[in-house]
Amino acid sequence: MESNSLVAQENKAVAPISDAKPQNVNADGTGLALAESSGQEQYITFTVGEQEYGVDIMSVREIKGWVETTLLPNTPDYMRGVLNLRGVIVPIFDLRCRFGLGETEATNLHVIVIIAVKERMVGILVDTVSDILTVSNSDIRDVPKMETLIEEEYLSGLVTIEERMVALLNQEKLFDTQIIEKGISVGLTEET
Amino acid sequence: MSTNDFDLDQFKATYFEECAELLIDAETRLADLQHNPENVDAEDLNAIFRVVHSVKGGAGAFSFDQLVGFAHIYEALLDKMRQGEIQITEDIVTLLLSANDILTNLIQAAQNGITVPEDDFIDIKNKLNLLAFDQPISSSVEEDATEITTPEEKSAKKYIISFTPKPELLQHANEPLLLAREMKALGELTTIVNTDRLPSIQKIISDEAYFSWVFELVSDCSLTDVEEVFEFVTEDCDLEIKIDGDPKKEEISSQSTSSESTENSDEKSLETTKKQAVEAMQAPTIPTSVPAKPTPAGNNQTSQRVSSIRVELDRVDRLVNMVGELVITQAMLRQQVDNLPSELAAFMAKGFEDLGMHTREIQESVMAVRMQPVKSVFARIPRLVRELASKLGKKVELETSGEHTEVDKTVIEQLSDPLTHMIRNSLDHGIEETPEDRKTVGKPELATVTLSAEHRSGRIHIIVTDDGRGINRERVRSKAIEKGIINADENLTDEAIDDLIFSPGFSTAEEVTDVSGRGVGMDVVRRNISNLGGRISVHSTPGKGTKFVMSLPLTLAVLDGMVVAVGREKFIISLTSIIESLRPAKAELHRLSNGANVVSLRGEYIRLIKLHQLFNIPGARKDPSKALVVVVEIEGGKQVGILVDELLGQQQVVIKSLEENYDPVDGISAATILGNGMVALILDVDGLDAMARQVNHRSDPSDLEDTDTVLLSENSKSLTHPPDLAEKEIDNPLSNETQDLEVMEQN
Repeated sequence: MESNSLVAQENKAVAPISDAKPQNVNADGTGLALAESSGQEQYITFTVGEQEYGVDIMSVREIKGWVETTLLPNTPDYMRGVLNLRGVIVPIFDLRCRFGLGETEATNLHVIVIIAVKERMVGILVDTVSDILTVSNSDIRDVPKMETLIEEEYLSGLVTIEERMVALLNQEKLFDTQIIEKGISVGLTEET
Repeated sequence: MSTNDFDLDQFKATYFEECAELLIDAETRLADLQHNPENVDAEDLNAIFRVVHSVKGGAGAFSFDQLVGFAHIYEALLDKMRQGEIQITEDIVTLLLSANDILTNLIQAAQNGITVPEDDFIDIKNKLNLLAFDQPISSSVEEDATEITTPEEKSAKKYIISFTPKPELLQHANEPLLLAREMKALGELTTIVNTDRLPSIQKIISDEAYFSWVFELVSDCSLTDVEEVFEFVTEDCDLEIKIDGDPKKEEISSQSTSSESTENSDEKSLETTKKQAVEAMQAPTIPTSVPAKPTPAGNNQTSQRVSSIRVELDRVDRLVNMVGELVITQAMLRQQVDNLPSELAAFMAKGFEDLGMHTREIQESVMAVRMQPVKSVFARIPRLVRELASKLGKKVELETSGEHTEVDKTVIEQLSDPLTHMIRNSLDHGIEETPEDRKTVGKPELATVTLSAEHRSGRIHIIVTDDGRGINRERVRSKAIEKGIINADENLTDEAIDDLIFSPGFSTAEEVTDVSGRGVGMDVVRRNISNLGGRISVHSTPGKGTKFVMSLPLTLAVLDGMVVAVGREKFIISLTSIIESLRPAKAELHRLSNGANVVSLRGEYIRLIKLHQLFNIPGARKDPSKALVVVVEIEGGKQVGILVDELLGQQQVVIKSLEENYDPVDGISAATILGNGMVALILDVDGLDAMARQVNHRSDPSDLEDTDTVLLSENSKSLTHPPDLAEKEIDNPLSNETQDLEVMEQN
């Protein structure tokens, strides 16, 4: 881990977020009940290119600067290899690539958001982490059906915040094993 | 027992876990008795009694009626034995062994929630009963069994129970109220309290028992049921149970109480501890259990056996994990220190040396926590041998040694299956068909199978020896030819023939028996063992016997690996599978017409697996004569060569699961973390072999990008190539149009 000044900066930038998380976790019963009673959820948002995405704050485990990963052979492009997270091997997915927008050229400025998907931990490679959003459930809009990409089933909803549109990720779908396997087989059939 | 719907699963799990441990203990002690029936250690008998008693107590708590019924008789017999009322003879020991087997079966059945058909063990039960109660099964035991199932059939009796607790009863975490409640559940209860012993209020000690009671219970239950209520307090009270107008039974019950109190005090306190342990476990099943109750029992327990604690494996794993990280971090820091200006580096060097030593020591101690003696596996073997020997009609004695040899828990878990298989094999195939057969060749009728374990050069060796007929090489050879494993004209050394028994699909048993010989035999054993990073070999002397040697790593958590580089990637190959590595000369490289590449090594042709091609690694050395070939052994003892750029060195690595957070990846068995904190992948050589075969079959499309190759593929029909093309040719897996499978010379 070459702790570069840039990484440090990035980490500092996201520090409040990781601070916010434990509070939320601690609040657990009460805080959650509050959020639920008022129909509100909190999301961490991050950007990939121009687009802003959000994931449920409760699923976020850690946010860290990009470090070099070890590639896994014969895996899809968006699978960016694995890294060592304090002794646990965590796979990293390139969100940009996952949505078919090409591979991210990762630098020290890029960020990995470690999230829990069911029993597993995965990392998402994104450009920057931007905000924590508190969204009431009634503000979440359905994703319109799109023909081009399989994208809509990977999003759980859309939110508009001050003219910005934030797409909320459905991480269970996005990083589920079966989907990943399907992704591979889709990739293979396209090749042949 | 109360039928309240409590979540007992967790207690049951603890109970079965304890049962398993207890049974191992009993089994070991029984084996001692068997070897030495004349000179019996009283402590052994006591210990076995305690085991059965604890099993029974717990079983009662969970209403495993069948188990309780059997354990009760078994226990009664043991009790008589330890009081010297029954002489210990060989027959009795054999009976005890069978009883223990049945107990094991019943526990297993209870664990799986099934009932064992009574017929399966009625024989032994009768025998036990005869000895224990001097009466055949019909009366007491049948009664016992039926009582549990159909108590309504009995007519109501009046029991008069006088119960006088000793002062320390309460301190031993027993509560008379609960006993009274339990009795109330049995029938109509009248209670008379005797307060004679109650001192004046100034002298009262709050945790001493002063009251005594006389209970009158009108119930249709049996005496045993009433006795069972007091089962855990017998030593803390004076108890007398009378049935109105039945003096005989009264005698029996008071006798059993008094006999217990004559035991020596040491034994008794142990006994108490056990009982309290069971009691403590039982406590949650009683709805009104007093919260403070387990505490005194707990104290008592620690004073009795402080030598071990039970820890979840998860916690230990986490510790192992973090220590692994510590080692990596330390290595990383050390590298950083080397970059410091020399005066600073020297300043730090001493500290780092200490740190390094300490971390290594921590790592070793943590690994030692996971170590367990192989005893837990070995203890199951005597039973297996007994069962098999009687099934096969052979006389076999098992000798074990080195059961205290320690090995990692993960290895222990995996050891049981292959070991069972090997013992089966020895008994079924190794030892002569009948004792008479042995006699005719001048051997004692009783065959000996030896099982031993020992540490040798950082590995554990487990050796199974029999003094049977040895491997019949003629038959093995003809069988192997028949099954197409070898060619008829192949000239094999004796060792090579012996080794054939590990070939897949090989089984020499003339008839398929239910013991072994389904064709899944020693090849499965070898595969299981090699999956553990171990090896198995066989040494046989015809007529004298056979010896199997299993060599296993001491742990599955770390692995001795060779770090290899391919392009910019680093991989680990398990050192145990590596045979040698070499840089082949061009003349030694050949290509098969189906696209597979081989390298000739001392007359043998070894298939090459090109890692860079299978894994699409750019920038790797594609020419085998400029790279390195690591020769590894794969499943079935075959050899393949893995093409890598270079060897970076040998290293002990901590194995990390890749599947914990991701899916299995072909050709990769696990991952690890290198000194620089980067993840490195551990190669699965068997998996690579399978991948390479597939690629050869359908000719990897990825290589088509290579224009040279495409160009060559047009050439590839011609069988000879100009020397200057040879190098590129080696990379070309194509030309599967040609049917000819002969080895082609490149030059």
